[in-house]
Amino acid sequence: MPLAGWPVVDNDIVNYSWLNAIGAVQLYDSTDAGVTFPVASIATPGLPWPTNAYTHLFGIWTARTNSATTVEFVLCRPNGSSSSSYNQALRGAGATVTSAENLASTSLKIGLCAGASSHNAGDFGDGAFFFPGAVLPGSHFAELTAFSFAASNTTTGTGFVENYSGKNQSVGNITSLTFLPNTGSFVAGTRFTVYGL
Amino acid sequence: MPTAYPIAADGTFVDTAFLNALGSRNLGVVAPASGTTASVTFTGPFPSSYNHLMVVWKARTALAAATDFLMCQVNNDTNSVHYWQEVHGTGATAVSAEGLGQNAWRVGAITGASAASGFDFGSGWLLIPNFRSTTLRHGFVGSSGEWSGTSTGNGFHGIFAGQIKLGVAAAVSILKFTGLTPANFTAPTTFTLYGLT
Amino acid sequence: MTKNLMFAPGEMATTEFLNRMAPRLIGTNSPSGVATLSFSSIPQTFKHLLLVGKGRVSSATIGAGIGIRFNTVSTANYHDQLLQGIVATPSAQEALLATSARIGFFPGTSALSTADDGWAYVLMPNYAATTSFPSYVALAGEHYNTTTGTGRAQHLGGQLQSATGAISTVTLLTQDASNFVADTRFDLWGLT
Repeated sequence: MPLAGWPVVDNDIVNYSWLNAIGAVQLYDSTDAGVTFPVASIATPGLPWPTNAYTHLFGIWTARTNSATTVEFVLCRPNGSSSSSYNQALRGAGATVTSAENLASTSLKIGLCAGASSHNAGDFGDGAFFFPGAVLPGSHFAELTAFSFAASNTTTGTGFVENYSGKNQSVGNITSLTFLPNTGSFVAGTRFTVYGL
Repeated sequence: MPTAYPIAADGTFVDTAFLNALGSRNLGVVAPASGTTASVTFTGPFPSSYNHLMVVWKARTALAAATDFLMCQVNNDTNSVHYWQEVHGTGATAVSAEGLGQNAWRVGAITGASAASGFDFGSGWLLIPNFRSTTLRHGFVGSSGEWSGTSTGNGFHGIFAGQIKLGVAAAVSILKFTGLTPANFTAPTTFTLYGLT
Repeated sequence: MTKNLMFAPGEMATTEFLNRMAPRLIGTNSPSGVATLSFSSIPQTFKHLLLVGKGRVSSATIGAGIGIRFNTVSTANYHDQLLQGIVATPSAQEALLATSARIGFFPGTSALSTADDGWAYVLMPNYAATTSFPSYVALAGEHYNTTTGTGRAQHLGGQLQSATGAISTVTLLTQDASNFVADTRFDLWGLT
């Protein structure tokens, strides 16, 4: 029988020091989870793992929506919180740089993806995000840093690089993540993967 | 029973060589108690089985200010060899800045004791590619953000990059993080170092 | 005994746990004296790709943009967008219908020294999808001298807009047809 603190893999032995040494472990993938489309939101289950095995969250995504728009914001709600989210954005589109903030919002913005009105069904949006210190032994707000790219056409001003920081004042340690478009639903080809670091 | 030797599914022992073959590896965590230190240092030499370093962090200091910048000094080099460039947004303003010949890189933004809430931190990540090279100067890229309150202009998000210039190229063996105005870190500040193969 | 991913001391975990360890190195390329390099026959079994590159080019200039192509497509069907900061000036640029998309900028021989280089961190989410355009998002930087205005921090993104399909080949190239020089390195990982 395994000793206390020794989880077993197919009757083999793995100890916690080994688990803690792993750099990144995939915690959730929406395709593997069998998400079907169109879907208004994608929610991870309670993120698995002993809390001593990861501190930060990292995610990668690609998405498209059926919104009647050329591009659409991709949003995230840690622990399903629909209030108290704050974002600072830095954007480039064409030759234009813009900076913008959102205060006391229902969701965190993590990027931009293509909508149904983009010029081709092959247009999606791609992005990555970090929640550094997603699980910490102390008082803190959930915090985000993210970046993305989406193009809605082949013409000028239709490519968008978006960068965000954010926080949610209703969430400390993160136990789940919900992804949703600002309007509409995600369509097939959308995928969210979350890693514990 | 081996204490640090997981067993693979086929019954054979695997060891640290197996761990080192993983694509990424947690090389260390520093989470200082409040009031104990104004710097966080990772000291190598870092395993030669890895080629790139990544740091994911969440931090706040006791500085009597709402915000500060996070700085990273390489190899304890206090000479004017750190060069950096960043572009960030705060409120509706996009800003860009450079640092020439400094004793550390600006790698992110953090909060201080005057932030609106004791739960407000700064967070971010940075990647140092090819850290073992002794012929090319070391650089980094990353992103970071912080929110020091809930009012307009309280948010910050930036992209940071930099390089060591001048002097002799040497492998990265020490990374030291402090505030731009050093002050003790506040718990649960956490820095995690990863190696990538 | 039930096998699942949740475990406490003594509980069962599965080999699926081992298979979730990410990332996995697919390949390394150290080009020297060539203008292009490729990662070919990329396994389609991962979920995402991560590419990290660092290096220099042989241009007799401050340097060159580094381009990416997917699946050996070299026609003018790439769209990229970048946001950057140089000194105190944020700026944005786009490239439309280009023959490659930018992932960063590597210094050339006008750099301060042969030790100066550029670097890029590139993600290709869901690269094995067949119904989306091949695409990427990246962060990059470079510093080719010690004087003002010689460094840049960049966020870039781009896609191939002529055909949807999985990414099986990634090609990196110098956008001015100069060569990569020694000590340049690109590593490609698959993320499970």
